[in-house]
Amino acid sequence: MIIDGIVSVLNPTTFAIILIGVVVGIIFGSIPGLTSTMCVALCLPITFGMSPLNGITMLIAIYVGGTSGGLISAILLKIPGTPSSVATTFDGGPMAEKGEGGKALGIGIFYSFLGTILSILALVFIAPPLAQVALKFGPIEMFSICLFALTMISAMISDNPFKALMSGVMGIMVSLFGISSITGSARFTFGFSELENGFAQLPVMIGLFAVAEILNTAAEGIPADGGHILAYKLKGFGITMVEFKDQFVNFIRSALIGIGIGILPGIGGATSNIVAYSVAKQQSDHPEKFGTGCIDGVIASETSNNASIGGALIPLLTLGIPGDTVTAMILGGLMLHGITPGPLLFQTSGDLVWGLFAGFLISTIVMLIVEYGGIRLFVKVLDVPKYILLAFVLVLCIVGTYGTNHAMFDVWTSLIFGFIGFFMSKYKYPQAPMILGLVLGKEVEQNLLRGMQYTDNNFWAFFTYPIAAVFLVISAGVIIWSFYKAIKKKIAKNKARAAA
Amino acid sequence: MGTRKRTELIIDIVLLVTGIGLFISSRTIDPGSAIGLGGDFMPKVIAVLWILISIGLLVNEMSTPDDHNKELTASVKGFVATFVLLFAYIMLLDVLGFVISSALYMFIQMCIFLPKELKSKRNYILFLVLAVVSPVLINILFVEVFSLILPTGIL
Repeated sequence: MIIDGIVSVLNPTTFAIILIGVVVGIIFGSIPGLTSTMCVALCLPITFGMSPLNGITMLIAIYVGGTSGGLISAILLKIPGTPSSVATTFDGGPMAEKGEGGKALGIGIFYSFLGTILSILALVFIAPPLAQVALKFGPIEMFSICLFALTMISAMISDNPFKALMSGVMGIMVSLFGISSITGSARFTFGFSELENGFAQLPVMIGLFAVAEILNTAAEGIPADGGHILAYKLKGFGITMVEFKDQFVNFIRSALIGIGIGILPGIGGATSNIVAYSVAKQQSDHPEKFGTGCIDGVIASETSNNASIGGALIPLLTLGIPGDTVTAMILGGLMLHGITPGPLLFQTSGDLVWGLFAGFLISTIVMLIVEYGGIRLFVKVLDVPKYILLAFVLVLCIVGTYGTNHAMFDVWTSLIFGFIGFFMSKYKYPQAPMILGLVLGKEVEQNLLRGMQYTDNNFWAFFTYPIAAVFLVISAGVIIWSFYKAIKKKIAKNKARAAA
Repeated sequence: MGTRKRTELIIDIVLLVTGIGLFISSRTIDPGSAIGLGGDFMPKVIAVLWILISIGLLVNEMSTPDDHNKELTASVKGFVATFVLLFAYIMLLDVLGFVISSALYMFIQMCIFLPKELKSKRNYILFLVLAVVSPVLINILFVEVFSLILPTGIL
């Protein structure tokens, strides 16, 4: 059965389909505003005419290419190509500014590959038991995990803790706008019917990064050389053996975070890249180097976002529960071909499952080859003067923001958040906490409300759930510890000032 | 007072006022649920946190020494011009359609961005060509190949 499955993808047609899927995915991923979710949605109808294996393999290939492709613009333009590559901008951007764009791309691609491979291994070998554990997660566990992920904001505190906290609170607040899905109450709609659905995440992120960057450039002005970035050089994969050894723990940890978050329903690569980045920063011996262009940040972000792909496929294939928006569409694709994913899938269509695993693996290898082959082409983007490039990128952002829901309101959202993002970056409010609040705020709320219904409005009963209790205690610990650190720093600073 | 400190204080006050506004607005939310917490719970909690943090920001900024630097580090003119341009672009999307409004936007934006030293007839002709060709190509690619819907306007 295993061999039958693997052999079924080893034909020119499937290879061609994988290649097209990966390339189209990379293009969508690398253009800010266009995401792998949108690309899968647009390509879904094309796959109906194919065999089930080819159709679903194409969707997975797009997913792999799209998630990885986001790193290209994140590094070269400091604008994330997809929400999954937000954290890649924090260190990838500064690396490119230092003239290490080639190295950053090389490392990002290499670890995207490794992250995906590790998640495929998880999918192949431990999917059923993992899915069983995940199935035990009710709203109370989900609430505690999301709350814990939110406390990672504390790792992103720089010199002014209030600014990081404000940024996080703003993100949560923005996520709460619109009608509550639990109670149906309208919130902060101020009479606008467009606000009933709240702010869509993608336009908010486009605003915070792309539009804010345009406004920033307008305010700073472009130097007479056209704003060229330094030349780049790249050897091998861009990483030395010593660096690889140093980063091994970071890599494994980020991959596990990515797989874990991928499995959980509702959250995926958009959350895991920031969480993995924050954890890497918190655990690092040199946290002060984060944000100035150190490879640790790029590795954490790019490993985890791609690891979330395999993670998200685990509950999809074993339980029929999609882990994120892309896998929800893949589920649709499977159903249309008359395949119902679930525990029986491995028995009834074993060769299809193994074929998909093999297709997933080949897509990952194709992604590695295509992106490496393309590096020279990608960095050519930097030869285009900034005054042309940014205007062009903004038009593409409009395509992405409007194209997703065909709503002018989304386009306005990106302008509003571009304005806010401009002031945030000018006055050093970190953007990462806001993004984390934005992607997790609604999850925290919905699961809290559901959990409180379970426990008859008794919050303390949450502690009787072992998994939840562990995460709640860790969350409390992280909060207390960061307060302690902040106060200690403040006292030391005051002492130093008094001594001077 | 230096420009930086004044702007920081203005931002902090705007944040505080926004927080108070959001809190007042959150008090009008219908809980909508008989058991457990209502849909008004989180907005209220977050609004209170928002207010507390903005007070923290304000107090912290007041105790920060002033650099008395009155110079502006950024060009207000460039910022306002680009913001107005983006506003006009989005306004016109529905009226003129994607291709025409994007062409107008791209041309004007590139002119705003262009450094003084590089102003030449050659560059403007290049901009004109790019501004027309790129939206047309993007439109063909996404509308024809990927069957995405973009605003058509009067076209």
